[in-house]
Amino acid sequence: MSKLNSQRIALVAMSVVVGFAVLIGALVAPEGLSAGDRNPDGSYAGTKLKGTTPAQWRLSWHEDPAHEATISWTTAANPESSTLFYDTQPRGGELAKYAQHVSATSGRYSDDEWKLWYNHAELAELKPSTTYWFVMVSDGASSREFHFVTAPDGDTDFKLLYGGDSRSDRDSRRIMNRRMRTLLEEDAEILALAHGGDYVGEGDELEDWVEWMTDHELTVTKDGRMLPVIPARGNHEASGPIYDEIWNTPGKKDGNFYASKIGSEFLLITLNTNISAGGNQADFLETTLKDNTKIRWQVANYHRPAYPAVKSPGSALEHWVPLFEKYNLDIAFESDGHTLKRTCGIRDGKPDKTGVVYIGEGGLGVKQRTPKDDRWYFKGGVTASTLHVQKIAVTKETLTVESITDEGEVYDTYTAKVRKR
Amino acid sequence: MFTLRFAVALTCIGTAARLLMYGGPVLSFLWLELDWSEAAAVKLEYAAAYGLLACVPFVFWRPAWPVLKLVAAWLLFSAIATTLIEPWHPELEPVAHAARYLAPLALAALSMKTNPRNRRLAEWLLRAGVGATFIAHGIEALLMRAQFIDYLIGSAWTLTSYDLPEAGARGVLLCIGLVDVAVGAAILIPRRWRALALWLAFWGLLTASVRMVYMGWGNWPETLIRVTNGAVPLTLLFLWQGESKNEQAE
Repeated sequence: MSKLNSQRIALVAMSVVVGFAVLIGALVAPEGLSAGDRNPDGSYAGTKLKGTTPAQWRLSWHEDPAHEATISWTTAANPESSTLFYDTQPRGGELAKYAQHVSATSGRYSDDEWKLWYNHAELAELKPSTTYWFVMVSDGASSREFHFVTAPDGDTDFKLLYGGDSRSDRDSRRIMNRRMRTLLEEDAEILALAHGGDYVGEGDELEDWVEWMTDHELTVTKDGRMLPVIPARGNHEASGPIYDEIWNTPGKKDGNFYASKIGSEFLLITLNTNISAGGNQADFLETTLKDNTKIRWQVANYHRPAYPAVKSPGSALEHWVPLFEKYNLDIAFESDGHTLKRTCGIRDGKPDKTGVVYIGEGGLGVKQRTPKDDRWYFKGGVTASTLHVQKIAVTKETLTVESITDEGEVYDTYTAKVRKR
Repeated sequence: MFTLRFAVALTCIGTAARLLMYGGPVLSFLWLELDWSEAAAVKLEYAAAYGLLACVPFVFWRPAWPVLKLVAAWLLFSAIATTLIEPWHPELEPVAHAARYLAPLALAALSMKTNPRNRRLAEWLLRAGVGATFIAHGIEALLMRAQFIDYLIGSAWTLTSYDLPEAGARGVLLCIGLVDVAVGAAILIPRRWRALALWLAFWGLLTASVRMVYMGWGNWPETLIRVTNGAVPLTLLFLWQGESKNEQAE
């Protein structure tokens, strides 16, 4: 009996000691990187936010990407001054050698918990089709040297990427960011990524954006080429201010719809499905399409689909589709559904080879759904449940869209030919 | 009571149709937020859809309260799931859906033994449902919900070929929001204003049918899902009329 009691006492004592040790160990463990912060090769997935060291870099294009760009970065402390040094020649990060510099505007992101600052350097009067090399500096803390290529202003061939929905699966988001980096490294003609929205799960939570921006660093090529983003607002960005603080308010505030002319013959119209589709935005769309009927290629990018692969249609169906058809838009890029789709040509709610084709549905880092492929508009189209990004090749004769999976395979190819408007 | 039975049955049909045609918020919540497999979440929604359809005949059966509680439970679950995935003012969702999930509970109360206590409970469930729904929709209108602006612009064009400008739609929406909040609050006052119930019934049915006017007949599930917004105040009206007749007879 006494032996049994002493055994119990020993067991309890052991549990207490081990439990206490585990607790102490957990409390004194150094603040390290979690497994989720590491790349498969063990390297850190992003620049650590510390003081005024520039991190979470991104480059956005709005209306005139041949001559303008915004380069943005985040700092953990409020910088007294932030400057972007740039040149058309690589200068290896030696600030004195850069021909030009521009001051960045800084401000605190709208979040109660996270104290982080955005810095936006707005570049203007850039030369078209030119490589610019640049370094971000905040209070003396510099980034490495990066570069990007401005859009052409003439009738030149080029390529873009399109994708949306990178919001809820960080692992697959990183996979797709690496895929985009590989595509950019393999094909120098790629100029930018048109993002279809839903970057993050909670657009009003800076924490989500911090993760997104950190992961976005993975799109930078090994030699430092940055992929410009032409952003659209998704429903998960809601109407909160952080989106504008990340992307330096593309389009007007409370609007975020705008048209980007890339080269002389390609118009990308970015729309916002979070606000009224039928009001001012429909007027803007009609005016833009009407004023640019002579441009060879016209495409649109917005989040909630008119011809969805999974969910119900959004207001785009009622207010934008008639305009797309009236002015013979070439392709409408849509996201939100978490699947891959390409519809047949659609006009007046029926299959029509002269109609508008809808491509996309969002596969940049979100679990993929099973598409409802029995919907009438997928006869002659394509659906799949796979992570993907679209590569758009713009030439004088054709507009080709390849849907590329996370494995790098071309799953679908669609080619549009020039048509009369 | 027939009005309410009919409305709850239509809500079941509309909800089931939406689940089968497009999927619902429960799927998105379980799959995206709770990491269920897509197949399991779809199975659950299909099971719920077929279950709701199976409930329809029983809704017309007098001792149907167990079935009605199940219907109410699914509709409430659905409202909560919407709250958990909807980025735009999610706090309003369970309030906006109140007429939907309280109507079956009121019907359950009325289906049980007829006594004044059950009738009183049913009346207050109906008042709370329609009051909350109108207040929440009123707040959404005051917050200028984009969908509502588009409903106004789209319906004006469809019905009258008038190209309503966005600024005009916003002005109209402001008035609608103020009225909705006021009438939603008024129905919670323990007075029997029949004109108020009539207005709520008219406006509730009109706004439910706007979903079809705006997007065409194919959008019928959205109208059926919201039919309780008008049917609940109509039931209140009938309930009050019946009681007043009884009182006069006595």
